[in-house]
Amino acid sequence: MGELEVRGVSKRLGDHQAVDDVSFIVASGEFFVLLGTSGSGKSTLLRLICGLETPDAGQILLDGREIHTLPPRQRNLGMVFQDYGLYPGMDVRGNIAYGLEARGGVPKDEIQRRVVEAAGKLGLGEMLSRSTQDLSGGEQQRVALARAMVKDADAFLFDEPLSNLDPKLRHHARRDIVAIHREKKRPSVYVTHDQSEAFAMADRVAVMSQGRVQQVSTPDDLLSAPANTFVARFVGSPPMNLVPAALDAGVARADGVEVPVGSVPGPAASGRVLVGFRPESVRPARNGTAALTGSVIDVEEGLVDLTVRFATADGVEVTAVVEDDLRLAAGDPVAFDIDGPVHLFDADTEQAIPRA
Amino acid sequence: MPALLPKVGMRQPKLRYSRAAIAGFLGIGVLLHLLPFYYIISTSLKPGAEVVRNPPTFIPSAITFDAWKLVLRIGDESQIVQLVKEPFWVYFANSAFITVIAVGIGLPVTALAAYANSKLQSGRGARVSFLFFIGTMMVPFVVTLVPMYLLTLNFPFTMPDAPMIPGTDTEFPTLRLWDTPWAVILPAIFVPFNFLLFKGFFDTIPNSVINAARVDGGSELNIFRRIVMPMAVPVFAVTAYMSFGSVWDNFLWQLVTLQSPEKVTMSVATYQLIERLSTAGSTGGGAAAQAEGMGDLLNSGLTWNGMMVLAILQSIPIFIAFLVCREYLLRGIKIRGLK
Repeated sequence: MGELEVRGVSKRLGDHQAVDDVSFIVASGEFFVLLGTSGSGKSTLLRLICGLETPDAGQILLDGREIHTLPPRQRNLGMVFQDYGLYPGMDVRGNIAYGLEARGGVPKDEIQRRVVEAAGKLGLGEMLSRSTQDLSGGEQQRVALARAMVKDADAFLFDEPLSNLDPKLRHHARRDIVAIHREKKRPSVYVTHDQSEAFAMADRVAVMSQGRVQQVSTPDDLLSAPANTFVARFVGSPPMNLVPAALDAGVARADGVEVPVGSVPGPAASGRVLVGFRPESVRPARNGTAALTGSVIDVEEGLVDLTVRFATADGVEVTAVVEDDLRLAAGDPVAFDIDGPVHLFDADTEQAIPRA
Repeated sequence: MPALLPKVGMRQPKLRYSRAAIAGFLGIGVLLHLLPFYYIISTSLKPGAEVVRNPPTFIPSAITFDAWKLVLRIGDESQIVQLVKEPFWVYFANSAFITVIAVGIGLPVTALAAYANSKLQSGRGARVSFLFFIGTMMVPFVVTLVPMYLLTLNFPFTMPDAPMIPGTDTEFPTLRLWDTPWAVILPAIFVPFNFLLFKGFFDTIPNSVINAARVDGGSELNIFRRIVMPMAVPVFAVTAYMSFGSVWDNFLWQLVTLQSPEKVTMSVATYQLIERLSTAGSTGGGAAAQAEGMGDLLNSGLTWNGMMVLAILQSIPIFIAFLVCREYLLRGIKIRGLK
């Protein structure tokens, strides 16, 4: 089965570059998530793929054929919209069947069979003749899902389909979507601003910001090897700490900061860097030399851990999530070590510095 | 069926009085509205002489169907031939043809125009074409009457002679719409007010519904027919009723454009009859012609009671249209601030 390829696609909306030279390939059977804040261009990118917008530059290929010049109805995609876009004048059956009927070529009893099958899979079997206006939010969402899956679509697109559901339903719907994806074995593109959704569902994630793809990788790699400071700041909760420092013989130094980073190849070896580390990697210092020293700004007590925000001597804020039961108050001096991976970013380009 | 007046505060005497006052006031309004209808019906049933009696009578002294029989025989009766040439059902059929065609073509055209403006155009283009359409509402009919009349003579030109096709010695082909039903039908096809109603409704349909249908595989026309139209039934009912009424009851434009006796509509025929009734025997034509005209009239027995019969006949289709659309009209009034 075919793959979905986005090749150098750009789109301006008004005087705003909504999508800027984006390229990626979604393999057949791959669940691909576009993750970004609102305004990052992820929804515009999805509208470009489904044909509601036309790209200013670049190509979109599905199964090797160019689809970016086709009107939406000829692209053969299944799509779930954020507010579902159910047809108000039709009952559930009509909603699910419309795509098959509008395109033509499918015999009536075949349509009927497929509608019943799709509805059955999503637990809508009893509601086929009900008006969509009388359905709950979760049921409406399932109708939208059934409508997308009833067709033999070449790819599936999801535009934040869970954002209007309450958290409990969201979990359930998430499993429905993944189950459909596994069954159809087609490329799926899923847009969300919710990291936990992205991490739970995605085979690969593209992090988007200001119309550009910042990084495409597996969810694990996003956490363990962020490509730049945007991804480092965006992914994870609380996000990665980034502390400006200067490299000096394998140690990143600043006032109150002294992090051993090992050998750094290339021109950045003695330059200014940003030292990145996860809040979970921070441990209270056990011996005399501490990697980080500063004074506490505030302390937040969670169920099992403690979130400490403190400022180094330079006034840089650092967040530490520690399990120990520390008794700290604002203004107390603290000393921490880093027990985990340390990332280095170029202070000017904000790109990750590769290390051996 | 909700109560006409809300049942609020029935226990409080003061409010009960005010309720009674409101009901009484509205009752007077209803009576005032019904009075002309009563007078039309009662006059149509009066004997010929009583119709012109002064002071007028409210309750007919005797009920007769003479006027009804007479009107139904217009055209056959030799005495009335000079008043009106054709049997009345010819005029009725003319009106019906014009109205049905104008509404039948006009509603889809207006609805599609509004749909295109609401969902297919966007930004500046949408605003400009919207203002263009609505702008035509702001030009009074009397201003366009003469230019439109000239247009019907030599369509699509307003001058008496069509210009030459450049480089040849033949004129541009023109169409003479004047004195054909199309002179009445074509200007009635696009109704800006209906456009406004449709546009207002289509704007309330979320774009995601249309977009979902597009991705689902629907062509624009299929989306309009299968998804938008079922939602817009009340709006179609309101606009159909209003278009029907305005074309059926239109008089001035039909008087200007329809001339041949066999092409005239109900409203024009009725007017011509009234005109002859009120001028016959009074002015012009010399004493002999006056006497002859008066003689025709008196012999035929057709006076104002006949006019009333025609008025009733002309109202019946509107009344039927109202009954058909009634439920949707009430809903439509709730949708938009209609009068």
